[in-house]
Formats: sequence, C-alpha cells, structure tokens
Amino acid sequence: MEWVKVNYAETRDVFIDGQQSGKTNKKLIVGEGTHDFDLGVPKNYSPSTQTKTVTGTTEEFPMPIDFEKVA
Amino acid sequence: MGRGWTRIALSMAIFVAGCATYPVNPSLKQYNPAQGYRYENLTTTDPNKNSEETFIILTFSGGGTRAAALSYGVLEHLHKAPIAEGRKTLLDEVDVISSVSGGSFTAAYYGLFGEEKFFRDYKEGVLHRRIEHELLLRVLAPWNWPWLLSPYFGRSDLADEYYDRYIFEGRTYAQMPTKRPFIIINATDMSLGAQFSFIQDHFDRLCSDLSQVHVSRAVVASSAFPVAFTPITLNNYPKTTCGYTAPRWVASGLQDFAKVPSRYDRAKTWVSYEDAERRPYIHLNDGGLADNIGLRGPEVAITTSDSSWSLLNKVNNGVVKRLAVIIVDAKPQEATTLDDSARPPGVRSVLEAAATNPMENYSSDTIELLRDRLSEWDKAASNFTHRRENVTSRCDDFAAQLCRGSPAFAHCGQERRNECYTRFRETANDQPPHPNLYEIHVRLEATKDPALRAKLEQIPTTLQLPPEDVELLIRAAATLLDQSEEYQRLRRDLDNSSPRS
Repeated sequence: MEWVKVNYAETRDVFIDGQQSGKTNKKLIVGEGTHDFDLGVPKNYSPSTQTKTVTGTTEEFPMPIDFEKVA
Repeated sequence: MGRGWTRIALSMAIFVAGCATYPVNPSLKQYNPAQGYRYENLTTTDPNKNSEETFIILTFSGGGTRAAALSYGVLEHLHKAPIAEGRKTLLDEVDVISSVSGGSFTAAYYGLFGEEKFFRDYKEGVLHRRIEHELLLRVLAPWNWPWLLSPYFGRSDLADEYYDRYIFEGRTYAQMPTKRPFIIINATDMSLGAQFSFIQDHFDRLCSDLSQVHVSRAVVASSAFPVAFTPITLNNYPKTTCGYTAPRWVASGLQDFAKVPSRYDRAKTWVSYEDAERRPYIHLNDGGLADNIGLRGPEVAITTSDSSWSLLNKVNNGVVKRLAVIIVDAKPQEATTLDDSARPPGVRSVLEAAATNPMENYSSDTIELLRDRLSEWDKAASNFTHRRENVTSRCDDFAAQLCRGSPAFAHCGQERRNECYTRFRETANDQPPHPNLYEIHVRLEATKDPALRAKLEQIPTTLQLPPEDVELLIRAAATLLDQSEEYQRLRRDLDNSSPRS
C-alpha cells in the first residue's frame, strides 16, 4: 500500500490509470507500482499526464505529484 | 438383420459424436463499458437498504456440497441479523460475493433468484439433491455415450445441461438482477493457472458477450475439478471484432516487472487474451486451483486501483466508511491416511493431492496478505492520530532545544515554535482515508467443541450429502459467525451508527 498527494491550485478529481480515484491536495492510497496520473477535463493544467513509479512511501511522507494551472 | 441394426446404431452414434459440441459463448458486437454484468452497472433499488458506506464482501470457498451448505448457513444467519433498528438486515448490506467451486452454487443461486426463492427452495432443490448420483446416471446412460465420445463435448458439458435444467432454470446472465450483490463466479484458466471470472470485464478480453451465457456454465466451470470433470471451453474472438481496448492499468503494470512482479504477472495474464490467433480457445477448470477461497479478486480490489470495482478508489473518495470481508472457508481436515502405509499412493491419490494441497497452502497466504494490508491501513491511521495529538509538545520541545541559552529565549522560542507548527501541523487534508475494517473468517477448524469439529471436518468433498450433515453445516455457520469477535464488533458498530448506515 502506497501513498501519494496530488497537488494543484484547486480541488479537482484525480485520475489514476484512467479511473477517478480521489481529489487533489488529499492523501490518496494507491497500489505499489507504475501509474499514470492526470486531472481529467478541462485540461487546463500541466503536465497533461505524469507517469510515476510509486514505491517506498508512507502515510507521513506521501509521494508529491505536482500539477500547475495553465490558462 | 441384427448386424444391420448394429451398423445403423453405430453410424448414428458416430454421426451424433461428430455433431456434438459444447455451447459456444457468443461474440460481443461492440465493447461498451456502460453495458454488461459489471459492478458499476448495478444499481441499488433502495439505497437505504444497501449503501456503499457499509461495504460487505463475502467469499465462498470450494468443498462441494459441504462448502455450499456452509455458505448457505452464513447467508441465512446474516438474513436473521437485523441492523438499523430492524429496518434491514446484514444480508441487505452485502455488496459483492466472490466464489469458487462448491461455494459457487450458493452464490449463483442467491444472486440469480434473490432472497425469497433462495430461502424457500435452495435447501431442498440443491443442498439436499443427490447431484453426484444424478450426474453419474447420466454418464452411464447409453444414450449419452455418443455425445460423450465427441472430442468437443465432455462430462462437464453434460453436468452443465443438468445444472441448467434442474437448478438454474435455463437462466442466462442477461437475467441476473442488475442490483447488488455483484456475484463473481471464479474459474481457473488452465493454461496460465490464473483466475478467470464470469463478469463482463473478463469476457471483454475474449470479445464475448456474457449476457448470453447460461449461469450454469459459470458454475460448472467454477466446479470442474480436474479429472472428475472435463475443462470448459470458451471461444476467444479477435479484438478487432468488438473494438476492445485494455484498461490503462495494464500498460502501467507491464512496466513493473522488477518492482512489483505480482502486478506485472496480472498485466501479462490480461494481455495474453488479446492475441486470439495464438489463443483461439480458453480452457477453464475448477476456480479453486487458482484460489480456493475466492479472495484473490477482492484482495486486488481492496488494495489496488487495478480492479474494475476498485474499493481503493471508493475509500479514497470517502464513499466506504466500513469494510467487512467475511471469508467462508469449508476446508476439511487434512487427509493423513496416505501416511499409514509404506506403499506409494496410487494415481488417484497423487492427482488429488496435487490438485488440492497447493490450493490450501495458497489460501493461508492469501488471507495473511489481506490481513497485512488491512493492518497497514490501521497503522497509518493510528500514526496520523498520534502525530496530530503530539505536535504541540513536539514543537515545544523542538523550540526549547533550539533556543536554549539564547538571550531572547521567549522570542526565539515563539518563532521556532511557529515554524515547527507551520511545517508539521496536519490539516484535515492530511487525514488518511481510513474505513473501519473487519475481517471475519468462518472456518470449520474454529469450532470449539472438539467432537463436533471432528465431525464437521470429516464431511467429505462431494456433491451430495445426507440431510443431517447439511443441517449440521448450516447450524455451524451460525455458531461460527456468532463466536467471531470481529462479527460482533461489526454488528455493534452498525447498531451504534444506525439509522444512517
């Protein structure tokens, strides 16, 4: 069991491997391994998707995944 | 004249044998995730009856009628357990039933026909039925021999016809109610030793339409114990015919060869169905060969987002507040009679040992794996609570240490303390998602009375039992649930949370 926190300026849905899996700025539990992260539509964020291998995280130190807001 | 008739009969037998074939699973016209028997496509007719807030998963093990009766006993006892001030029962809250082999009879019948018919007819119509005897009569009946001579029609196909006619009344998956519980009947892909479930997500991989498959087909595949029953064949259609694309986790999982081999293996198994030229037919046998307690699928759904009904996503979204997994395990006593003699065991004993012993070892590993994962979840939540409760004293200590000897101790201390709070104070967003967890293991071995335990564990694995054994198992299920501390905790918590649960 691994932990991530997807950071973004607003509260939005987080999609992990194409499935809606939680909200931005909250700790989320993911299975160990490689995953694609994105925020769905509208695509007003960058990068459009991030592939991360999530391993060795803890609840106290989740893997940060940052998205920037773009116009 | 006599020889003439013999020739005609033989010719007809050969003709019938040539024509006889298994019922072919139909192809899927167009892949559409919004259609078909999938968890997400099920609705609940009354959300007050079955909320996802309390998510209950039942897993039914193999073990012939012994397993079918024990799982019936669990369903009956949950049906008699009122919650929410008597407005519903624990059975109303069951969301998923995952089953293998003998347990699949109960899961399929309950899922297909619903509560009323299940409690009215199942005991007499299935548990008391001499299935094994009736199947044997069909195999021995000369008029079935031409069919059985066909290389494309086996004993399992004969059993399928019988189950379809006398138990499942000719129903297909299109007639499976579109409400929870989601029934997952599991078989084993013979070539890969991997679990194959009768849900549309798994049939998509074959470009095949589960809705036209008879429910009896799922049960016969799930209980096709090697040698006694022949494997069940499914046609695998080219993926271009239905426009299927694999879920995205599969591509991610294929990158995890070194880091997470179990996930890589799952992904590799998934893509193996995509090449219909290389694997035009899939052969299934007893679900217990891949997982004899039906827990592997739920374990993936609980701990990853790789499942089509991922619970992890529901937990992250705050939907699931309580998660209970009830494992109904009809494991018999270990057979040690082989060790009574110096003579090497015969072929039948060797086959039986090879087919059943690894299944049982694997079951313990699966349960421990789930238990470890659930305890990680609990530990993370308690660590968070501990940190939040102690941040004030930790920051006070930190500031005192840093500012010791400083001429402006008070000012320094305040500044350092504030820095520390800003850095380490945890907000509501930092709270890890954490449902209350309950793992309830109903197993014959837990029977407290030694004489009764011995009696229960010696009930053989067969598809027919004397009615008194069936009754004994049903009563045992109720006792085993009641003596489980986790089950009592679940009931207490649901009573305290009513009427909102």
